[in-house]
Amino acid sequence: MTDGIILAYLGAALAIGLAGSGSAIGVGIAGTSGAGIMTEDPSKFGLVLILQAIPGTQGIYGLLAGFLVLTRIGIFAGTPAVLTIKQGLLILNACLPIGIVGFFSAIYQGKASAGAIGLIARRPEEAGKAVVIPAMVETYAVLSLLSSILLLNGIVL
Amino acid sequence: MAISKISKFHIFAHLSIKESLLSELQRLGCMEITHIEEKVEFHNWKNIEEDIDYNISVKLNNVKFCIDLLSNYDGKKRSGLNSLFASKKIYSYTELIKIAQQSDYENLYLQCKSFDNELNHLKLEENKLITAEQEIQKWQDLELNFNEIEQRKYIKYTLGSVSKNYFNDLLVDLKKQAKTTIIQTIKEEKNKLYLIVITLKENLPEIEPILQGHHFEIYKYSYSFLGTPKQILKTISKQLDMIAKRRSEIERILTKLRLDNQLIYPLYDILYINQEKEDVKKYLKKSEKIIVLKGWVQNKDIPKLRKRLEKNFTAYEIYFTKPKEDEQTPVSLNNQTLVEPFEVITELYSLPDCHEIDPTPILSIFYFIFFGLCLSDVGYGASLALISYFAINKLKLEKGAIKFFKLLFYCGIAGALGGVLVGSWFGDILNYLPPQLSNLKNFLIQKLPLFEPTENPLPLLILSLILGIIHIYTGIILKFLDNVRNGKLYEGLMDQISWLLLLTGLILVLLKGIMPLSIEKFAWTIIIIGILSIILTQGRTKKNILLKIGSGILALYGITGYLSDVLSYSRLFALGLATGIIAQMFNMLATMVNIPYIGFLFTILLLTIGHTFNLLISVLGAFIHDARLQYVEFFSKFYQAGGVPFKPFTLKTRYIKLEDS
Repeated sequence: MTDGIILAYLGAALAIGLAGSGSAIGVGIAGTSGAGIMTEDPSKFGLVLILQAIPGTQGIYGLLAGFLVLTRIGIFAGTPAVLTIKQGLLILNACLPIGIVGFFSAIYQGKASAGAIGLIARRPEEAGKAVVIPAMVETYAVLSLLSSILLLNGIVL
Repeated sequence: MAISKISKFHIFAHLSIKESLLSELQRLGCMEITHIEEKVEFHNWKNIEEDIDYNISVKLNNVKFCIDLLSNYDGKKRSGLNSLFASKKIYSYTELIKIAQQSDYENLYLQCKSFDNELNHLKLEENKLITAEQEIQKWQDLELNFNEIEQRKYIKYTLGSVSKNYFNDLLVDLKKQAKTTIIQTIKEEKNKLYLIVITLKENLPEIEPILQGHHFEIYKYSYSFLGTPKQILKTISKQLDMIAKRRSEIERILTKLRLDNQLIYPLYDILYINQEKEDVKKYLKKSEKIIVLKGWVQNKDIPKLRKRLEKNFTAYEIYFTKPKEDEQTPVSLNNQTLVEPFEVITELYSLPDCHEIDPTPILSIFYFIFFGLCLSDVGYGASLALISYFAINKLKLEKGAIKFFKLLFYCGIAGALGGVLVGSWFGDILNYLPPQLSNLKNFLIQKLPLFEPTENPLPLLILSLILGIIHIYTGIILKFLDNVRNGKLYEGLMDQISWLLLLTGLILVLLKGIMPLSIEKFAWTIIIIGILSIILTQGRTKKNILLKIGSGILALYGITGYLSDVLSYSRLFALGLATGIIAQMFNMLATMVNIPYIGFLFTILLLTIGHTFNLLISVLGAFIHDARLQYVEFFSKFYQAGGVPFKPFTLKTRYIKLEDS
């Protein structure tokens, strides 16, 4: 086992851990407000669930990036690659966009979702618009996932 | 493609056919009835408000009360998702009318009302008993009778509680002051003691200040139960049992009532229909013998309308007029079958203004392609299409829901096609096929796909951006055409064509590596023409010449907007890739299970759960992000929106489904 691989592991851990924590916070924020709405109208469960799920995607993106790293360095195949420290650092860097942006965007998306849940509580007919508002935040998570993937792809092992 | 053509109508009819005419129009369900604004023509016509039957709304409320109460006792829990898929009973209109005439809901209402009152009363009673129980439980080790305590001649019993912190001081002080006082602890709590202080009545004046001084809270028994605390607790729990028994009895009766009175659901609906009919009367005007009503009708429905009226009535006259040029009419979309489901996306944003073009047909093409790229998996696409197909054909759905599932059906097909394009079948599940099928596998994974995003991401990313450019160009061109249509050719040239020139030039310059040199020269020319025309025209509303040029130059900043718009389409690639990789992840996890004999069961279970989960989030993501691209990047270029939906006066039902007549 080389030192480089430790850094690659750290990268995967940061991508999964940070983005996942962000999603957990975001889903929590949205869920609190959703549960509040449902005390008045339990029939909104379906819609609330969708809105609550939206900030959850960052965690999945993080997992995806981490998974890509682990595949890339051959952990699943059972033959870990021999990485130099430089290569390890490159992999670590590639993981940062989705880790950092995933963390923050999920939290703010959770807040936007909570707002959108408030919107459907009062005007259920505007559900479509309510779903689009948190999706605006998601853009940046998608872009960061994209950069992480492209960065990873560019690393020569 | 378009917004349906709409006409205004006026109907004049004899007063005697008012009710039957309204019912007929409601059953026909193709016209919106509106206020009559023409004060001059109808100035001495009266409103017919005095004819409105307000009893219906009372009845409606009562039936609603019964439904709400009884629906709590159907033995099953209903979630939001269930109610979406629950199928409704079908009734014909004549059946409904019969139900309205025959069913006697008054009795049921009185029963429901009295049971509801009783339930509330029981609840109140129960709460009181529970509070008492909690209070008296504290004293349950007291062997004395609460009532007797007050009646002794020489001795005074004082019940109360004190914090443990003060207890020792209290004890010391009491001992000091009065030797005849006895203190007993009845119950000990975490930091509180429940005490009984026994003393001679004559010592009371000395004792009371001491008790108060040590924060002793005197307990006053305030209930009417007799006996020792233990006896009282027994009485209370007996009463609680009785309440519970009575409640379950009532619940049983209500459940039975619900089963016996299934007709209240159609009854509610027919009452609601009648209520709507009464509501429409607000719009009517009448003279001595004639009523008039006004509204909108789609042109395609006019022949049907005429025919039905001719068949059923004689004492009426109907006139149709075209709306005036600047008149705001309600909007209803009317597209051919293939495009129709995509109206859902347009309607989610907002209907087009009545003078605008309906964007749905063009949107549908892009929505289809983009969804395909976002989902891009044959397995998921096919599953989505199959599920939607099942929902459309097997579930009794409302019209709106059917439209939505049709949209999902198309989206599923798009996803499957996208999957073929990138060679994703439930991720990489084909890799796990037995070796005998390797020919098929090679064909599907290596020959058929045009892209291999996991190996070489750039081509698909570039395709996404190119699609984005086409999408944005389409938006700009649509705005230009709209300007031309409204006779604003010059504005179109200045606002849209100048940008198109600049953008095209920039794209060509970026591509200079693969383009012949002559094209580069051409590109720079159109860039300059574009820039100049933007600088010269974009400040044209300003008065000052310097401001004109200044705002023109500032307008060039809009180029960053177009750049970010195009980059936004990279999500097509990223989401597509994410679907495939997450699927791969589940495949790998599932095949890692290594338990002898029953391992394959876990593998199947993991695959099912994993892929269902991925299907749900991928479809949700694709749906939302695709819609966002339409709304934010595409509609912002040309779409005004803000149309008022056409709401025909029709038979609306909530609990049942009406048979098509």
